[in-house]
Amino acid sequence: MKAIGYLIIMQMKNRILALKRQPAKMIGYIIFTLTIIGLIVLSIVVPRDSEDIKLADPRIIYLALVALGLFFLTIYVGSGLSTGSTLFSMSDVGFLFTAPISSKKILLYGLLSTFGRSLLSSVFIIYQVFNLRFNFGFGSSEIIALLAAYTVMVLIGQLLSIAIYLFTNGKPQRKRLVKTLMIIGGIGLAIVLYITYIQEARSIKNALYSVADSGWIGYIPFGGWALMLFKGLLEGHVLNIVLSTVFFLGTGLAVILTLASGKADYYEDVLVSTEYIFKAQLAMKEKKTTVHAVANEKNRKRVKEGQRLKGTGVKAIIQRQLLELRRRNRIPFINGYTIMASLIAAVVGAKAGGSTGAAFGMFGFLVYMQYFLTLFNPLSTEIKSPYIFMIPEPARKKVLAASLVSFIKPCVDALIIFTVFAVAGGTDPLSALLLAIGYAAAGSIFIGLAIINQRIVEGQPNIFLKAILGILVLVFIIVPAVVFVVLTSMILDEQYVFISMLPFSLYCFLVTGLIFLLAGDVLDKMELK
Amino acid sequence: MLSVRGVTKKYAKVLANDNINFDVSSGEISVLLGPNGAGKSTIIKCIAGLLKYTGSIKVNGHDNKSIAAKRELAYIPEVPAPYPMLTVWEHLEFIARAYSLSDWTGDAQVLLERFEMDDKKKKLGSDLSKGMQQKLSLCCGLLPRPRLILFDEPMIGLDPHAIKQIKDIIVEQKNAGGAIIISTHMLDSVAEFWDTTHIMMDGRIEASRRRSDGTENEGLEDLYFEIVESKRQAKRAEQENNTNGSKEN
Repeated sequence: MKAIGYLIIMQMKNRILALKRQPAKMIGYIIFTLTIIGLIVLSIVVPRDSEDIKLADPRIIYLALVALGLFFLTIYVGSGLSTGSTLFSMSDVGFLFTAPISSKKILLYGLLSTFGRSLLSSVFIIYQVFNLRFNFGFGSSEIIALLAAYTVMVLIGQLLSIAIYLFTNGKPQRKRLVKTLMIIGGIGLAIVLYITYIQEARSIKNALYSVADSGWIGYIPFGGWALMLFKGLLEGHVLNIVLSTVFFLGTGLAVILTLASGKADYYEDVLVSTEYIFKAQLAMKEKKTTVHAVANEKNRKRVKEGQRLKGTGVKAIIQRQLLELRRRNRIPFINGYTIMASLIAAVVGAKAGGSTGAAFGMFGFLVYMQYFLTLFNPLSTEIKSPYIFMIPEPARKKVLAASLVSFIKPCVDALIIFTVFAVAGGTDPLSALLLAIGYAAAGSIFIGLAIINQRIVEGQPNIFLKAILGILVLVFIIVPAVVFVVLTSMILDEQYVFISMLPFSLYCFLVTGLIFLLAGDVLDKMELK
Repeated sequence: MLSVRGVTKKYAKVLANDNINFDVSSGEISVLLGPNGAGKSTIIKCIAGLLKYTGSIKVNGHDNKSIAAKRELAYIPEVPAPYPMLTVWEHLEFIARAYSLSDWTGDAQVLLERFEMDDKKKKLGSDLSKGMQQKLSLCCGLLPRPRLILFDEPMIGLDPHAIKQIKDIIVEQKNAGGAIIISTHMLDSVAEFWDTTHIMMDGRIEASRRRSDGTENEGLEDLYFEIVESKRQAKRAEQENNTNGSKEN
């Protein structure tokens, strides 16, 4: 254990010493620590019977804990089905796994480091001390109980992920079994929730609170167990504490015993996951997106017969993007975002009906989301790649071709999302069409922005300057469009207010055209990095 | 020193190593050659004890996953991954502790000087360039004076001085009775000192040669292309036969 002890102590020491070279990080940590200390002191100073303390419904916390637990369960089962989880780093593989140290000691080191990380991640709960004290009347014992439930949940979650990986790796039937069990569980929970919703006079809030406060929820893995442990500690209910501890420890011990029973064979079980995480970290360091770096490992796609490139010159760029898109998504241009945004549109449409405010609110939110999606879309990577510089075609044509597929995406999204919105809310088709055009127009301006950023922002060596310039360019370009909407909507009657989307869209398309005209030669001006 | 018998490694449906058999004696440099995806790194990882397999791997008579075997074995991975929060010197101290070495500081100093790393002792792993990380990985591997060293593409990313040092060290280890396995694509880099070579394709050893049997005159590169190309042609012919056969049916 001498070597492992040395490793842990030295890493901790150097992590603290490294802060000397990162003053901004050190100040951040100091502020964070002082804030936590301040919050703890304040919550101790204020007596529990103070008038300032409100006693909000504790079921809110129960619900949050169950929801968090179910979220973790889904994430850990998902990672168990793909790459598994890991207790180790790639450095451990190179230096520890091959060293003459007992594999059980190495496993203990992995467990301890993971436990430490889980404990650190639970700091956010301490950050909520003030809130929990003043809004829920929680004292230190309740907060410690919450911390304990959360930490155990995260630690055992990692082990569960390894267990699922061990059980399903290379066995498609078992993978299907786990997936089916998860789906059955999800459907079961949804049915119970629906019945409770009917019983609670169709109030979603009351239905959720009722489910979170029920006795049976404690038997649902993770979220339920964590809640049972928390309530047990809170109410001094010994049976609940014992049961939930048995569930958590039982799962954890089963995995640890399985790992420890087969000499050092768990090395391989964590190797895939460790290598996957290492590659992702390396890619982030090299400023590639994680998705690009590890997609080949995780989502190997089959190449179908008949899928081939067409066209010459700049058409080849478009055809290549389309080919990749067909391989990436089952239905080209429709992905998780399309479905999620359509669901939002359906809910807003059904709840708010023809409300103009709700429609504009949803439009604004979706455009905001779209901005971030455009930031991470392949176009920014595409115009930085060496091959596009080398294609013997004019720069403007190449940039236009490289952007075309990116531009089709918001158009398809707009069509689907606002059709759903119109159908669900009974909004008139013309208004929905105008919103859809506005959404597509916003998409076009964001694509233009990606191009212009290459000219103005990318050359800046300072990352803060880059961020500030990026935001300034966005504001400078988009503000007039918003002003057009506000002004025209003020003039128009309530029933014609959606016509204000027309000047907005027109402005966006015109500015996008202008950007391509003025900055389309970006490939001739910028430097390959 | 090393005995590999009937080692088979499967990743789901992919057969990465198919019934691999070979031995490496003390004072022998054995080179694994083969195109990408041939299974070279997989067999190296199996020998290092990182993967599960069927078959048997013995290091100096010990099961390769035993502590006794690990005392004799060093593994230099293709992609170095030092601890980001340990300095260069602390990496060496950690290895010394892990292998229970005594009087190691002199050896560590010599290794660092050979790889021109003696001025980087206080640098953190995260602050090292890729080449420096590879040099550190080599120093850590060599510090316990292993009797069997596994090199997975050891010369990628290194400067000419470091490449020369590695070559010198490999020959020194051989002369001191060490066994060495090198997996590489760079045929020229091992041409001057190899003793045995195993050419791998599709997870199998397709051919094994000894320099002492007169293969030296033939040259490693000619041998490699002769074997790999003839296997590829045979494979293509087999595929064509299968296609023709299925068309006729």
